Amino acid sequence: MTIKRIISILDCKILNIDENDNISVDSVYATDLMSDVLANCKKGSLLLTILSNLQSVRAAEMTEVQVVCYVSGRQPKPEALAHGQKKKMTILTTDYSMYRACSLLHDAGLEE
Amino acid sequence: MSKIRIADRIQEILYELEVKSVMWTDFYTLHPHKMMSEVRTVMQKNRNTCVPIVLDKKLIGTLTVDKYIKWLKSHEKDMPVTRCMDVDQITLHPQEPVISALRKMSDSKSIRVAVVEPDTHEIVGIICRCNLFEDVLSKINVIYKDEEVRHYRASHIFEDVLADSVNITLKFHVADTPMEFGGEVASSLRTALQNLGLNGDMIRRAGIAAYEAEMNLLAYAGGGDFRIEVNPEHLQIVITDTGPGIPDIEQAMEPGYSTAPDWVRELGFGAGMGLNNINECSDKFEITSEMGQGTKLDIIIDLEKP
Repeated sequence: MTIKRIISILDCKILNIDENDNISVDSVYATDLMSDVLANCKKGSLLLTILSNLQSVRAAEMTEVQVVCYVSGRQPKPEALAHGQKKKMTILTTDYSMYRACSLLHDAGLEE
Repeated sequence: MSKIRIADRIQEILYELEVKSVMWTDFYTLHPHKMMSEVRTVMQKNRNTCVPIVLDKKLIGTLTVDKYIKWLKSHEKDMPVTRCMDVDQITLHPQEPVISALRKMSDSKSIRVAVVEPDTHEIVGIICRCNLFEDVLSKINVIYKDEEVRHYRASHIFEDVLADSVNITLKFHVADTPMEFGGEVASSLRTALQNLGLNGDMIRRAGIAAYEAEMNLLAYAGGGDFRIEVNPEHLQIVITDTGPGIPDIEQAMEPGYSTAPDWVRELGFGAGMGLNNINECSDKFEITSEMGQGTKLDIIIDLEKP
C-alpha cells in the first residue's frame, strides 16, 4: 500500500516524508513495546505506536522500518523526529486511536 | 551498490552539492552607467540572455534579453540600463544546496540567476539552468565514482588485503547516558557494517542484538564496551560491563522474565525480551556474569557467503 493511501486512510499529518514518497509498505505492526518491534516487526512494515520517544525511531531504524505513524494524536519528541529525518524516515501522526487505526488499515487490506 | 542505495546516494549528493561548486565565476556584468545602445554587443559577444548590473561588486539588477527587445521595439531614445533592468530578480547564495537552486529557478521560471554572498551582497557567480544540469551530472558522476571505489574497497577488503588472516576490529564505548537517548552505538555499528558491504540480513540481526544489549547496559550497568570483530567467516560482538551482574542467567533468559523498574518499561523496554531477542539474532550466543563484577555477552553471526 502506498504511503499516500495510508495518509489518506488515517487522515495523517505529515511530520517528515521521504523525498521518494511513492514508497509503499507491505504490512503493519502495532505495538508500544520496542522489544516487541525488534522481535516481531517485519522489515518494510508500517509501525503504529503511541510511544513517542527517541527509541520509537531507533527501534524502527534497527528493524529497517521506514514509516512510523504515531496514533491518538501523539507527537514524537523533537529528538525522535530529528533522528527520523536524519534516517530519511516518513513520520506521520493520526488522531485515530491504535484500535481504530488498525481496524481502518485492516479494512483497506493491510495485514500484519 | 543496489538501485535503492544508488538513488539514495544521488539524492544525498543533490542535497550536499552547493551552488558554489557548480556556478560560473567568469561572467560578464554591466555598470549602471552603461547605455542600452551598448547592450547588444555585450549580449551578442557573450551569448548572454541576462546580464547582471553591478556597482562596486554589488548586484543592483539584471537586464534580460526580453527587456532589451522591448526597448528596441519601443523606439525610445537611448537611456541607462538601470531604467530597463529588473530589480526583483531571485538570487542564490553560494552555500545553498543545488536542489534548492533548482526548485527556486523552476518556480520563478528563471534561466540565469546571480549568486550573491548573503552578508556582503557581492555577486560571486552565475548559475545558468541549461548548464546547471550538465555541471550537476558531471559532479554526481565524479562523486559517485569515488563513492563506488570507496564502497568497493571497503566491501572487498577481505579479498583485496593479502594476508594469512584479516580481522577488522571496531570498538565502541557506551557512556552512562540516560536510557532515553540510548542506541547511538547500535546505530553507528549499523552504518559501519553497511560501509563494509556486509549482507543486509546480517546487518539487521547485528543491529537488533547490539541495540538490545546497549539498552541493557544503560538500564542496568551504567554503560559498557563493545568490541566487534569482522573476519571472512563471521561477525563477533563482545559486550562487557562492570555492572552488578545477573544472579540467575537461566531465569534471565526466560522469555518474559524481567526485573526492570517502571522507568525502563515506560521507555518501551523491560518486558523480558531483550536477551531472547539477542539470542534469536545470533548464530551463537554466550552470556557469562559474576555478581558484583559484571556481565559479558558474546554474540556470533556467521557471514553468508555470496
